[in-house]
Amino acid sequence: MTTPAGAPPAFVRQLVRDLQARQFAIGYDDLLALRSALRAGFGLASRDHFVELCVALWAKSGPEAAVVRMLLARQELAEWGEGPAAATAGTGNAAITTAGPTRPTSGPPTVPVPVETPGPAGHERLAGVPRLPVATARGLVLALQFPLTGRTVAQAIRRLRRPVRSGPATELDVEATVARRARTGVASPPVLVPRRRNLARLLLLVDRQGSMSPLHPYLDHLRDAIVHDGRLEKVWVSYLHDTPVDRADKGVLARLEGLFPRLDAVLADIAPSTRGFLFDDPELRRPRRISAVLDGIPGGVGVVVLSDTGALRGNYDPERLVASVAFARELRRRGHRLVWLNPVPRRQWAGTSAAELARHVPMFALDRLGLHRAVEALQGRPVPLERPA
Amino acid sequence: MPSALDLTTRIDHKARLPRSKRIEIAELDPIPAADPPTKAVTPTPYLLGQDVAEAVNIAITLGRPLLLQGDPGCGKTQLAHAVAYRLGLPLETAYVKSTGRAQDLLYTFDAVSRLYEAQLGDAAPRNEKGEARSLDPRNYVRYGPFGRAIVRAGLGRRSVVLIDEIDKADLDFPNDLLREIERLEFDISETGQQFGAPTDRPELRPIIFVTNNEEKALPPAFLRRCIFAELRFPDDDAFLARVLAAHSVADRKLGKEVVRAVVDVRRLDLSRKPGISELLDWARILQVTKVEPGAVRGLPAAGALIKSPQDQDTARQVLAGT
Repeated sequence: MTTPAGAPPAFVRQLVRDLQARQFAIGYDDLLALRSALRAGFGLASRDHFVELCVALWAKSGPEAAVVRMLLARQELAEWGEGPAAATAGTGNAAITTAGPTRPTSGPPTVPVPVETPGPAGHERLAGVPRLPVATARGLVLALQFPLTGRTVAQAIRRLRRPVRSGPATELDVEATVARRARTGVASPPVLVPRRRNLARLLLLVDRQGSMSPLHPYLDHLRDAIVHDGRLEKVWVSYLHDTPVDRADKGVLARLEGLFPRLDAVLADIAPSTRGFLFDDPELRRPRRISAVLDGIPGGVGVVVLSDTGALRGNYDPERLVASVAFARELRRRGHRLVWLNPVPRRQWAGTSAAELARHVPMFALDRLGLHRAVEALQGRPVPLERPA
Repeated sequence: MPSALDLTTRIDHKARLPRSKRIEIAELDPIPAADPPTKAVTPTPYLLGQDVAEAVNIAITLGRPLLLQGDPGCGKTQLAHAVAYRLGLPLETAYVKSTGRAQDLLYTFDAVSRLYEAQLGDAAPRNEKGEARSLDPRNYVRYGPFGRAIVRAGLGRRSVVLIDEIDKADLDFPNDLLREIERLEFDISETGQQFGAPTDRPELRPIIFVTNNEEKALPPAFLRRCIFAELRFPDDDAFLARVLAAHSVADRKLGKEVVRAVVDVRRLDLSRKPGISELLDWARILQVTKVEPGAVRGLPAAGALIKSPQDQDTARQVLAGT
């Protein structure tokens, strides 16, 4: 398929598609900027100059720069000009692109390469065996990609607002000034009030280990996005394992019947409880009593629990359910709003503890819409629940 | 909307510079329409890497601000000074405070003074025509750094603008500057004046540097207008030796030992790795206190290089072992 005249070349289109798949906001203006820069003479001297030009135009932070470089490296552009890695990179390209069972049995490959970097000493190619990409100059090119980018999380969390006037008094309160002048009739200094700042706060409880072990990098990424990019005044982070409260009321449990009992019958009897431990570190080595953690945060702070609640392994655990409801009641008693965020998609909750708990406490899946709904719930919007705890 | 390219101005990172230049004085208010007074400027030595120079040239050509990121002490602020000196342009610096508003970078209107002066009646200050000053709101406008740069562009002269540590202000600050950065024009609502850089002359566009400490995330609408450059600690020992020599650390042996020690310290897992400014401070202290090159490995005066006691102990142990 020939490229229509004036359209960007295929590797640029591929790069833009890859970047858009990673939620980079690359649009028409950005392509025009690239073309203007190329016309002005930038990025033409070598492949590395071109890569650095794309980084300068389209990346806006260190990690984004790494992603852009990685995506361009994946495309294995032919080297041109005098970049610093011209010789070895050319061999790397040849190693990957020449593959297939029909290989000439003798002689070097027909692709002209400036320098053949030797593989393991004295290696010979067997006839008919496809060439494996052994020890290329760059190796495997990988980069992390999470379902929710930091930007999406930050945009949702920033909508958690608690505007409070605090700090130095720098803003002029026009009405108060006019009122004071009118009342006293004397030239008086203006009335200053502090600016409104967003003093929203959050307690983040993260489920670690056990079924959540494969998600640890994702959880760290979410926690960092909330803490650093959410622009909240304060975020307290604690870690838990499976459930915050670890012991459920035995009397209540005894009254549950069957393999997959519902809690509706005993819901009214579950008392608020803080029996259990939260941990200060992700490796769950420094325990603190739940009551100590909750005493350390002021009232009115929203609480977010990041946990799969049995959905990852398909468990239905009545004890865990009772304990979670007890914890939710304790939080309500102290005046905190609670939301549960589940990394598993909603359609996989059926038949697990997650579906049952979602009937009693606000639980949202960890996608963009769920995150926005969770923030609205923390702001006070009523969430329809089948049997609120 | 793509703006016109400025193809006339490039910086050459290899060019040798005169020891001092006469450059227009930046903070004058009101800005002289022609023949501005100049002052002699002696620059701090700054060695530009080739990739940084390329990013600066891209930003100048495309007319977009250059967003500088990197660890503290790697030379983000000094880059703006160095580029302004190379091009012989006045540098307008805006140090952003957490309580600042974006409008303050353009202008401030002293409404309170005007109100007081209006009340003074016969005792009010008057201009040369005998009219009360308070009648003309233009007497109460003070321009901020970015505003001065745009006014100067309207008068036919170019400037360099440095907006330092933009992430200290809150979220609205960069968003409030979007129109001014895109179109390089602003208007003063209290007086009705309008200022703008001439659109048909891209070689007069103010060159804007924005530094970011990455403490908070900047809004995407602002970020997409910027060219990105990251200043990293150079991994070329010869380049570091030249940096030391440029900052008058004359003893070559001392310089070499200092570079070796700092590169080894940076390989350790410290809470904060020393950057270029710490390297320079330490080298200068060692030179002034006449430390022998052989004694550098023992990390004398380590407080200038490593700012936390645990890190100092770690570094001393490791360097003593090697």
